[in-house]
Amino acid sequence: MSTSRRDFLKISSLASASVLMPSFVQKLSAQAQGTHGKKLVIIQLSGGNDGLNTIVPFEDDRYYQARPTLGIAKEVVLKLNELQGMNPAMKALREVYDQGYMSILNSVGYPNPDRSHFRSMDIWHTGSSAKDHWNTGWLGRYLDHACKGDDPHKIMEIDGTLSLAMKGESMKGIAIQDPKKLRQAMKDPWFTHLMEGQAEGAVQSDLDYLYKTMTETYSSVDYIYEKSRIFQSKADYPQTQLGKKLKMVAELICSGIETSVFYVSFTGFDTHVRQANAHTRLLTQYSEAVAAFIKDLKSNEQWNHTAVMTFSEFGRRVDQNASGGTDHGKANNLFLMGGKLQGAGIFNEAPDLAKLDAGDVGYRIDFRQVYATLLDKWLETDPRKILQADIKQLNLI
Amino acid sequence: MNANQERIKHLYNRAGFGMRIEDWQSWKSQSWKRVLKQVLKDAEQNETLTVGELKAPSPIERKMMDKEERRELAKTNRIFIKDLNIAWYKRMMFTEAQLREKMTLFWHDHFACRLLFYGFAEKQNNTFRNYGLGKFGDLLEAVAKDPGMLQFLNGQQNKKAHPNENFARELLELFTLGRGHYTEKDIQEAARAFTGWGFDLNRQFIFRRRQHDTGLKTFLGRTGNFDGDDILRIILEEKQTAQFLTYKLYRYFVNEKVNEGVANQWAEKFYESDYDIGQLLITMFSSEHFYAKENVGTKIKSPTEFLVGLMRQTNMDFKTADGIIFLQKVLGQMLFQPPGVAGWPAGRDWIDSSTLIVRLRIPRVLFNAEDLGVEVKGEFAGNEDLLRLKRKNRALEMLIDWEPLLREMERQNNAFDWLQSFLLAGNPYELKEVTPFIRGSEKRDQFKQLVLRLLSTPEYQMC
Repeated sequence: MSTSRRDFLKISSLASASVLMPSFVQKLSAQAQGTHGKKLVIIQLSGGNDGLNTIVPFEDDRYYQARPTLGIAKEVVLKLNELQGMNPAMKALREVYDQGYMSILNSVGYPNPDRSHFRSMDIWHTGSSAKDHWNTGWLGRYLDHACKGDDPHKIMEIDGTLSLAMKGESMKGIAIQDPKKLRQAMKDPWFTHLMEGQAEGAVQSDLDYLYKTMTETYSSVDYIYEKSRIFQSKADYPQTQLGKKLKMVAELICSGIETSVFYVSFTGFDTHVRQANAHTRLLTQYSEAVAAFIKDLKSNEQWNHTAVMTFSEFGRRVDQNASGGTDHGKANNLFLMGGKLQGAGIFNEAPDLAKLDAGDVGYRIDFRQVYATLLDKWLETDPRKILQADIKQLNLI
Repeated sequence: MNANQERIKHLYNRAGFGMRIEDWQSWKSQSWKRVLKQVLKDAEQNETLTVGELKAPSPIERKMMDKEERRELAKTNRIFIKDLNIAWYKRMMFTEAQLREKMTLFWHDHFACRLLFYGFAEKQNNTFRNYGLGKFGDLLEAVAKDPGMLQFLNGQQNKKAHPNENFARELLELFTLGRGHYTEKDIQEAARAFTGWGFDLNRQFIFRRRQHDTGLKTFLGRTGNFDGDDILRIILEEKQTAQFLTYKLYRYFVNEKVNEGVANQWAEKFYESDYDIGQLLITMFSSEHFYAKENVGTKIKSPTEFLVGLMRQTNMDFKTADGIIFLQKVLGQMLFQPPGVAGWPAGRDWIDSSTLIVRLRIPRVLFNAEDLGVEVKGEFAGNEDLLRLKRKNRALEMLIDWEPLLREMERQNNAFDWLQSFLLAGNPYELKEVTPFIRGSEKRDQFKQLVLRLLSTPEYQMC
């Protein structure tokens, strides 16, 4: 046992309950329900979304040549401008686009792209270049640099395990799937007992670090649970996994939670085989859930300080494969949505299918430019420290 | 436990995956030096890890297969890899050659490859096992010519006309010298020297002479018509390589924070011994430094150390494979699927709010066959994720033989005191705190509760 813990044990037996009131309870009582700054919601499409069948270049013959059976017919595309339109499965999102809430960035990627899901996802999560191997995530480093002394729930992943993006050097975000269940699981009196003597002091040993993580997790889970009971959304969400997750995010935002960044993954986009039906289903689920989320936030006056970013680890090859699917590709489109966007609409020119990078869409915008812009203009922190480079920003927000 | 017994426990924690009750019983009155000798002797055992042979089709055979056959092959491959994972877990749990497996795990992390084909994974794993305690030069050469490595880091694509730098880069950055001890130019020159190294249709190493660049290369200040073997030799001539490896082994076995004075001395000896890994480990485990207070109970267990150790210490075995695979996933260390070529994180990076809470709950979940209630991240289709799980198969059913542990507790004058020093590393826990949490009056039942409590602590995460 660490010395600090033993010392504190002596004190704890003497101290009254109020002295030991955990910091989260104090915060809870001190803070009025309301808005806590800007919110960033990140939706990760895992598996490599087929960007070309999501935002369709319906005027490009090369697209239809490359995709004789998978191509989305011009007549059914939801046209956004003269060149590109949405997959017809995205009707719900089309309305969001029409209201000026959505920017579509074409050809987002990075130099020397990697076609492995894991490696490419790591690059997106850490914000490193393809030749570096970083072990902290960009949002984790945001915690390290900009949120000193804050709780883990400053960044929250709606999931059972925490992704690399949210792991910093000294701080990490929290992953939570079901606040009520997790709280119950942790309500073992033995755990509470273990933490009782924990001094809030400097972390020296690794054991101190474990106790600190345990204590913080407890107070964060309690805090999130309390917040989750404040606001019940009456909005109509699709009964899908993503719909449920986004509903939880909306309820927490409306409860006035301190969390700045919410992270949600939506999986199944690795469509090597018989893509058409699966992709339609995925895009429908995605669009309907996001549209419901935005509508909900709007009616609760939370939309103006919320931004939603959607990305995938890579796009897919331009040519369809022999199994009615598509294989791993390179650059892809990225969506940014918000009530206060500057670059609403299609942000940059459509991918040039005449100039491919070995059969793939090449990158025009480095994803770190999007990160730098979000960090600076939205989360209001210096992106240079977090991205460890001076990266040119985009005129988006 | 007395000081000597504490040392034995420490040795078992670090050179192996934790002390079993039978280890305690056989060694408690022997000197730790005697135990170290036995640990080293046991490590000489070397048995190939395999779950059978899976013949891979050649590219031509593969082309001729129809969809159904291909799907069938992918499925069989997945089952083989899963079985191999489980076989390795069982090996770590039950083998006497603990140190050999601990080193195999070290090299699996050091030369981290995510191999899709069972044959590759099995072969590479046994390369680590065979060479893991010998001369590093032999290991390095075997790994550089290993078909799995050649495939994973694109050696197969490294040809005279278009050198592929992937292997050369990681060789210098992650496997030998470490960052800052070479230039980009060195990487390019090394890549040229390795051109022509590949594997044939039978997945055996082959030197394709016509793909090899025979020209002059300048690498780390030396100039010559180097080939891959020359590059490896030059790397070993650099003392930095000995230091890089010694520091990494220090962090694995001794402490995340390297005591440079001690480690530099060990590195010097390692270099002089021509990179004798076994010799370096003997130096480590016989040093006073290894048993110093600051190095005992101060390391966070990796998920493998945690799970294997838990099962060893409580005489547990698993009934179904998928549960153990699931736990590896949840805790973030799935064997045979390192996150990338840089290997797994270490130390505090194992721990976040989710993994810590899961670790604290696992003993209870395992003892009572409860549901952990945690979902793991969605998986990718294709064959990149080889260990897919169906939800219904996640049952964490365990076989626990309580008898030896309970009998030992009954023998002890102070069962509580003894148990805590048996289970927990480092400083003893204040046991008076546990007593209020023990219910019932039946002695053995109380003992079981006590075991469960002690395992469900932050202290138990340390070794």
